Amino acid sequence: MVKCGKCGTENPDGSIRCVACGRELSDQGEDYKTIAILALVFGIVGFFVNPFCLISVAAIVLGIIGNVYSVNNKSMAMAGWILGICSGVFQMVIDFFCTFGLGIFC
Amino acid sequence: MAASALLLTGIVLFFVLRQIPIETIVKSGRCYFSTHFNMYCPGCGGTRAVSALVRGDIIDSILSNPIPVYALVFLLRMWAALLYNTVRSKGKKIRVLYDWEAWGILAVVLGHFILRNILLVLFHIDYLGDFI
Repeated sequence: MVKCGKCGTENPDGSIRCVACGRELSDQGEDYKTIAILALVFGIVGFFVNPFCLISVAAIVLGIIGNVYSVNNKSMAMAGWILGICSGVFQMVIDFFCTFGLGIFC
Repeated sequence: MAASALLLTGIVLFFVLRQIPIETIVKSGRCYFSTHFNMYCPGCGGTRAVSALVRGDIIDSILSNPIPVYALVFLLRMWAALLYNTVRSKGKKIRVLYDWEAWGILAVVLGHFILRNILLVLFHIDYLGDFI
């Protein structure tokens, strides 16, 4: 059974469109899985490379999007935005106390 | 719309960075990680890599830090896919982002970090010249 990401209806395997709302089922899982992966990657990378904390912001935004819309990858997306918050706070602490600059770029 | 915004942002950034030395925007000097561990952090050389990239020196940019070049190739492919999907609105669409491209970011960052420090610690090869 394939679950629709929009309305949550369980559809038979091989369905192209959701029987309840009509949304295409073929690639929705892949799109939000990729966003969840990107959120996790940015969350990890943000501890090391984080100019203007933009990587952390990207991890948080993508993680929230993935957490809301993803069906099977919510935990990965959640890890992404949590790591994004942690890396952003870490970067700001390092900047404030150690360099007073913009962080990791040498 | 998204493809145009992406391209316009890239063009503006390119001309701004060519006119303003990036060292005046980003503070130079060693980061906390490299100061305390005497090794390169994954971001070390990033400023020099971006400077080399806007000057057109791709090789120097990759050797300093491959992240800006990977990000540029990655964004150009996203822009091309967005443009294609916009132009071919009724045909089969190309995926804007693949899983392997997302994992590739982590692979480039960590792989370069490991390789550069192996060369520094074991073989005393230091392309950036920050330690040797």
